[in-house]
This record gives sequence, C-alpha cells and structure tokens, in this order.
Amino acid sequence: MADTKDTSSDMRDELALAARKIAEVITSVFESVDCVREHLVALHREVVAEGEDFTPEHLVQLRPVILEQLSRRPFLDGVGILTAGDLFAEQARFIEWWRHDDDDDVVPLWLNFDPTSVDIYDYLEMEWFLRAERDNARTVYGPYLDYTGADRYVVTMMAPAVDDRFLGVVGADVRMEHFEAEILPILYDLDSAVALVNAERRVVLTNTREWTVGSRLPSMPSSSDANYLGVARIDVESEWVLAALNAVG
Amino acid sequence: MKVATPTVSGVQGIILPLMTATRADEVEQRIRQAISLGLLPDGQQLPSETALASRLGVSPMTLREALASLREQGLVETRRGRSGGTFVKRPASPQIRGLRDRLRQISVTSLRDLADEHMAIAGTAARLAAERASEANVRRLLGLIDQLSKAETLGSRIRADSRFHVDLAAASHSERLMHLEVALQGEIGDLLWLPMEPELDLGKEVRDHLGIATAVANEDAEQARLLAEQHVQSNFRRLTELHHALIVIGDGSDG
Repeated sequence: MADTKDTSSDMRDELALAARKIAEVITSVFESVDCVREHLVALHREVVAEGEDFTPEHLVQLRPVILEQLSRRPFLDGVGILTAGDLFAEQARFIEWWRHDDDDDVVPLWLNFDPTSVDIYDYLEMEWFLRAERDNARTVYGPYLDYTGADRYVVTMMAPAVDDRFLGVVGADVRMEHFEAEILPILYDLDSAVALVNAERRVVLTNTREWTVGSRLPSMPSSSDANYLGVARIDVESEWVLAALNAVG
Repeated sequence: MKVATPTVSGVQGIILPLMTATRADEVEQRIRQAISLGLLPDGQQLPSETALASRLGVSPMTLREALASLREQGLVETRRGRSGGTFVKRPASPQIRGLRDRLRQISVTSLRDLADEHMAIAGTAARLAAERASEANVRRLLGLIDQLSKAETLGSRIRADSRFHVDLAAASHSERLMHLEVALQGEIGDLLWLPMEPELDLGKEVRDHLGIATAVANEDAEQARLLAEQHVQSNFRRLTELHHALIVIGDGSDG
C-alpha cells in the first residue's frame, strides 16, 4: 500500500514538473508578445505626451521590434498588433502584423476589413479580443484554424495593451507543428499516458494513441475522476491542464 | 490604411501553394477564388507581373494569359501610367453571362465528379466538425446562416454560402480539408446561385445550413455528415439541370 502511494505521488510530481516545463514554453512566447506590447505602450505614451494624435503611421515605428521577435523565435508564425475599435478615428480595425510565409520570408498580413463584406475579419467581435478588452486578460487561444488570418492550424498567445486607455491586443501565432516540436519531448519524458487539454476540453497534444489531437474529451479531466491518475494545471493564463490517463489499453 | 507593400502575403494560403499548377486556367482560378472570397479586396493593386509570376511559380507568359482572362471577366483591370498596374475589381455580384458560360462549358461528367469530391469533403468536414468544433466555430456558422438569410444580392448570397462551407471545414480542425473546400468553392460556389429557372430556393439553402450547424452544435457527427452530403447532392442535381437547360438554349442569350 505504501509503495502504491509513493508511486502515485512520484507520478504527480513528475506531472507537475512537466506542466511547469510546458508553461515555460508558453511563457517564452509571451516574452515576445510582452516586448512588442511594452514598446507599443511606450510609443503611445510618448506620442500623447507630445500632444499629438496617435495614428496608424506611428505603428510603423514598431515594425523593427516585431521583425526582431520573428527572427529571434523562428517557431513563431506571426507577431503583431490588432488595434482597439476606437483607437484611430479613421480605421475601426487596423493591424500591424507580420508573419513567415511559405518560403520563410517575413511578410505583412492582409485582412479584409470591409464592413459590408461577409468575409470581413472582424476581430473586434472575436471572443479573445473581447476578453482582452473587457477583463484585461491574457489568453492562450486555440488550437484553431483561422481561414483568412493565419490560414493555418495555430495557437495564439495574446495580451491586452493598456496605457491610459485600452490600445488593442498584441499577439503571437505558433503553428501547431512547431508548438508540437517544443511540447512533445516533454510529454515523451513521462512514464504515463498524458494529454495536454485546453479549456474547450480539446486534446492539444498527447503521447498516446488513446487520444486524437484536436478531438474533444467528453468532459474536462479532473483529479476526482477515476479515469485519471492525476491532473496538473498549466500555470499561465490558459486553463489548460495536463492529464494522466488511468490504465491505457 | 498604410499597408507596407503590395505583396500577396495575406492571400498566400489561397494563391501561393501552387506547386503543380502550370496552366493559366489554374492560376486564373486561384486568383478568381481569392477575389471572390474577399482576400483580394476591391481596388487592391496586384504585385508586378514578374513578382507575382515568381510567387506563383509560373512563367510570366502563363500569368499574363491568366490575367487576360480575368480582365475579360471584369475581375481585374489594368491601368497605364505612373500610378498604373493591375487592380482587383471585386464586383458586388458576378456577371451572369460569365456564370452561364462556365456552367455550359463544364461537362456533366465533370459536374458529377465535382459533386463526388464535394460530398467527400463536405460530409467528412461536417462529421469532424461535430466532433471538434469550438463554440466560436458554431457561433460563426450560425452568423453566416443569418447573413445568408438576409442577403439580397446574388454576390452576397454566393459569399455567405461559400463562407459557410469554408468555415464548416475550418471547424473540422483540418487544414487540408479547409484548403480543399476553399478550392471547391472557388471552382463551383458561385454557379449554384445562377439565377435561372428553377430558381434556387433560398429558404431551403438556409434550412439545409441550419440543419448541418445544429447537428454540429449537438455533436451529432453522423447526422452532420448525412445532412451535408444530402445538401451537396441536391445542389448538384440543380446544377446538372441548369447545365442541360443551357445546352438546349444554345448560345446562352438571356431567356
């Protein structure tokens, strides 16, 4: 009996350690986001202090900062800024977003902001943007397919940029195949069958064939559920959990 | 709005992965698709012919041929002079004549083959969407159904219908299925709405989409697949009927 208890507590320690390593990967993406965010806030403060209107032209000054993050962390698909609906008088929706294209060239992203079009990329209405604006909250969003945006299967890390007012959201997309390359080694190090599960109860990544990535579990894993040996929270604004499955096979 | 350079960056998902295409009509189709789905907005200047051709991996000759055809269809216009170049013209609605010509020229055999492909993609996409869609995906699908029911012009109906199918595929969380659906919508998404007797029943289209979205929301994979397949099938029966009618009418003069 004592042996079992030790084993299961070892397993929980191991799970908690893996959860911390996963949090570190996510945190490193947020470092890029925060760098751009801090520059945006500083720029806004400076422009306003000089009594000028903050305009889309000012955002051009942040390009080198964005491009530097993309070259520094090549596993980032895209990095940029989506501005608040009332930040600029002329443009309700405006982005300064750069990304790697298929040839690995860094190019600006275009989006359709024509409000009369069914194809408008209306980020102002998207839940992660509203959440950032309303709750001043950071989000790890996805994985999801963003048809006219990234056009790829990505996870997006986002943070609100706030000076004396809400300026918008700064974000970074990571393609799932790149995210997987960072996370799977952590999962392979574990002895148990585990799954990284997001708030939508979707299996983000797993080290076992028992689950399919992208599919949803019937319910959110919880440590009180006999189907799981243990559940560890990923401690970064994400509501993601790392769950160890009881008895595979 | 200050956009850096007129590159094709934002639309690369549509018009860049053109590995196998060497023919002008395939290039034409990709660009037409990007325009019809609003990725190349009205008035957008295309990159220079040399730059675009190299981006697409085709010869400048092939690109010129594709652009000439798009120009004929009124989808791009070329202006001369210092601020000249090729610009996107995204008409509010497509030219009926162009739709009729395309539907007349396609063979019944190809139509059936397209229906087969669309059934496979839409059916599987619907099934997987029921298993995987997020709440945001479902809200988006319902929003597009609402837009379709309110759409008054041919162009807005085509776009709301096409986007529903693309977003259904996006809800499957499969990049490949989504790109296949985008390609299919570019090829046939507009033909279905050709205003000819028997007119397409907007109410039925809306009900079909609502049925699929409801099955997705209820996580009923089998029902979602079945309804998507039936939807595709009934639409292709109409396309075949219109094709026959166009052949019988002859040169397609209005009537």
